[in-house]
Amino acid sequence: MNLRECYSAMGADYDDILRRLVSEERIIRFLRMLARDQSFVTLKNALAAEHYEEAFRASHSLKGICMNMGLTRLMESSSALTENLRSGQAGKDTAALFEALEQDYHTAIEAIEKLD
Amino acid sequence: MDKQYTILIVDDTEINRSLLSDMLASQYTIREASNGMEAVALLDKFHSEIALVLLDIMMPVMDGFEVLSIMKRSGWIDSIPVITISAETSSNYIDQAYDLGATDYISRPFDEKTVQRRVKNTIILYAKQKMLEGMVAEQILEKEKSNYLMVEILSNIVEFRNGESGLHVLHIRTITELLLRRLVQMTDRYAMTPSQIALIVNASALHDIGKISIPEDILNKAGRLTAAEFDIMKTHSAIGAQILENAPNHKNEKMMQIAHDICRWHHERYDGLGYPDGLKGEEIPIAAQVVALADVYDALTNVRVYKPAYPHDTAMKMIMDGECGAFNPLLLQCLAEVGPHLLDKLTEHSENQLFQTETQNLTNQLLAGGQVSSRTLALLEQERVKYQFFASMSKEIQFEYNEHTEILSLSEWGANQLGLPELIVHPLENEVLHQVISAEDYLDLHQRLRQATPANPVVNRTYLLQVHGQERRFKVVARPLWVGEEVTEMTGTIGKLLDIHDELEELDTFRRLAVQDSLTKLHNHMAAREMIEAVLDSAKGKTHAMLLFDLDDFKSANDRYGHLFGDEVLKYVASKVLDSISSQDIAARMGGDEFLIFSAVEEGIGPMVDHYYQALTDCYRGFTISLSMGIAFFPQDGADYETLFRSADQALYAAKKNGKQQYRFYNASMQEYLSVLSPMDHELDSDSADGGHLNKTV
Repeated sequence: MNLRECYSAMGADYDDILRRLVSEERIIRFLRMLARDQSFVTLKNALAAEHYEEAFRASHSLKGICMNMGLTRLMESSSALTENLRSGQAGKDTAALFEALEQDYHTAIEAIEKLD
Repeated sequence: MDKQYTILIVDDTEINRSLLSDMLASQYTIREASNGMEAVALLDKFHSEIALVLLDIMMPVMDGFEVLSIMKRSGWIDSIPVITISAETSSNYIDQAYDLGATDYISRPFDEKTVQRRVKNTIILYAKQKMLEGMVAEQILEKEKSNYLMVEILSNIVEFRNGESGLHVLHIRTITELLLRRLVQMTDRYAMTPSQIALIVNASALHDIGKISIPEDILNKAGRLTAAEFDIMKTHSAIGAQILENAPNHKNEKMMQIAHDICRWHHERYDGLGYPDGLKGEEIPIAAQVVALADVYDALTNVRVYKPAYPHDTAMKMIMDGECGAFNPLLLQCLAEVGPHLLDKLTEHSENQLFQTETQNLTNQLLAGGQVSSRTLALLEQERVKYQFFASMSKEIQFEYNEHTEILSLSEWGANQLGLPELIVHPLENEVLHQVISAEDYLDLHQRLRQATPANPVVNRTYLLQVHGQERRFKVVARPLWVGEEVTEMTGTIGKLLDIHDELEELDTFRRLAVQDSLTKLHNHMAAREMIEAVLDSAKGKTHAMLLFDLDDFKSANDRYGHLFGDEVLKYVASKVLDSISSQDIAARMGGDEFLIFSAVEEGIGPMVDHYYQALTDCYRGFTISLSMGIAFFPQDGADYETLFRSADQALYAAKKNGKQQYRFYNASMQEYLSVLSPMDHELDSDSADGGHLNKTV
């Protein structure tokens, strides 16, 4: 899978990221870094432990990374969860929002793993 | 491109840091911090080399807003621009960042061009400003230096020709400064800032440059000058003023103007009878008035070719009586008040101090103006590096508290020793810190440092710290730092912690040894007496018994088996004593084979005495231990230690006299008996090795 295909699989904007980060080599390097980033794990654990402030920060971090990497779909789902957790408490949608985010996250990671 | 600028990237997410670093690393040196705390630590160490901070807002431990407020408090924000980067786009986030002093704001997602452009623009903007500031400060410094050099050269020429001690100029400066400082304290009629005073002091050195033109035979004439000669001499003030007027740039130089006034008018009199212009009262500039008075005092108190040196008191009296000219009464009052310090000040000023005083003045002037040249900064930086290098090598717990940032920083080694982080924010409320030093103790130290004064700046206290789960006593030696000469602005404190726990433990051991009988480890007489007196003070009439006993025929054990055996017997008895008494009882070896037990009487008196007597009567390796014992009771047989002891002593004597192997209670009929201890008293006093602490009881 090439980078353009990978971006389209993740529901992300290839042209935008190439404009901003200039080289494909760099984009791939940072996508691989994203696969190792701990924000998602932290978020998942924090939610399980009901540490909502920590969950908020982790989801906020994830959103920031997605913004930088142009991962539009995952950015949108993490943004939704971030806003849901901003008060420092769980809302009635928290679980559903996380589920959506988790699905987007795995889609993205799988696509990154399939990169040539 | 050489990477002359360093950028600090602060973001808790590694990807984001790397991404920014990737975009900037080809042109800049990069430092990274993963939260606000680390960022502040790096700023603290490297703020003079960091050209820009890229700052994320949402971070654990310490967020970006707090970093900004610390940078604001410490003044770093004035020289280090901050660009905040956040996924937050709500306007109150951005506003808050700007309010706290951020220069710019980049929102995510960012692109390479924008980041590179914004960073470059900001750095160029600040560098220009810094360079301009640096140039101005450098110019000022150069100017001050050349002025100072000129003053030095000119005044040296005058001194050389005058054959004066060379100290005259220094004296004039010192007296002028003392008088001016007193004057501005006393009245605000001549409002002068510290830097204006410094200018006058500098200029005062030039007061006699006109003497360059006076022929040497008049200048150094050993006797009185003739009227004609004096007229020539008098021209030096106008000539000095002329020299300065002809100097290039005279009109633009504040110091040159002041020097001119001093030269021309330092021989005017307050009553209008001086020369060259006959100015009267406040027509004479205050600088010239002060130098005139300083000049007269110094001339009187030092040898001149035409006169001997007068003592300080005589000179003061001559001036006050109007024998040496007419002066502003306010200035005479100043002189009278600084008079007592004058002598000390003038003698303490050795010649090589001139440079130090001068540098200090210059530094203070520059600092007060807020214009420090980049060279000065570089020197300061060098000092700081030196300090940190030595601090990192020394096995000392050093600390520094910055009043503006409210951060307590510990030396690396020190932080390790105490199990604390190197940087502690808001130490007064920091719980991690208070697990090591209690909040009360820290507050105590904090307040003591606030009360310290320049005359007595060092605070020295011992506190109990919890270090790695152990209680240890530490000595804190610390002092506050102030900016400038006035104590009004405290900028922080520095100090170190010394682990004196082992030392104190050792002292305690020594203290214990001092009150112990070296052979038996029981208390010695002196210690027993102190303890018993303390018990009696709080006994409130509750009955206590004092049992005094010695070993029958102990002398024969010594004689028969030797002293070593005798010592073993004594140790054995001591161990039996310790076994038989309760923890509240006091047991002591009084010297020789005399022992004492002091005990509260809880139950029957008879059973108690019996208990001791039976317990101690024993046999040690063939030597039969039998006792003679005298017993006295508090309060009836003695309400104080002396009397009680004497009664027990007499009862013991009665027991021995009655055939030994028995105990006797004190009664009034024994008053006539001799003391058992008195003969030994003498023996022990002559035996200094034993300490001779025995109480004289008779």
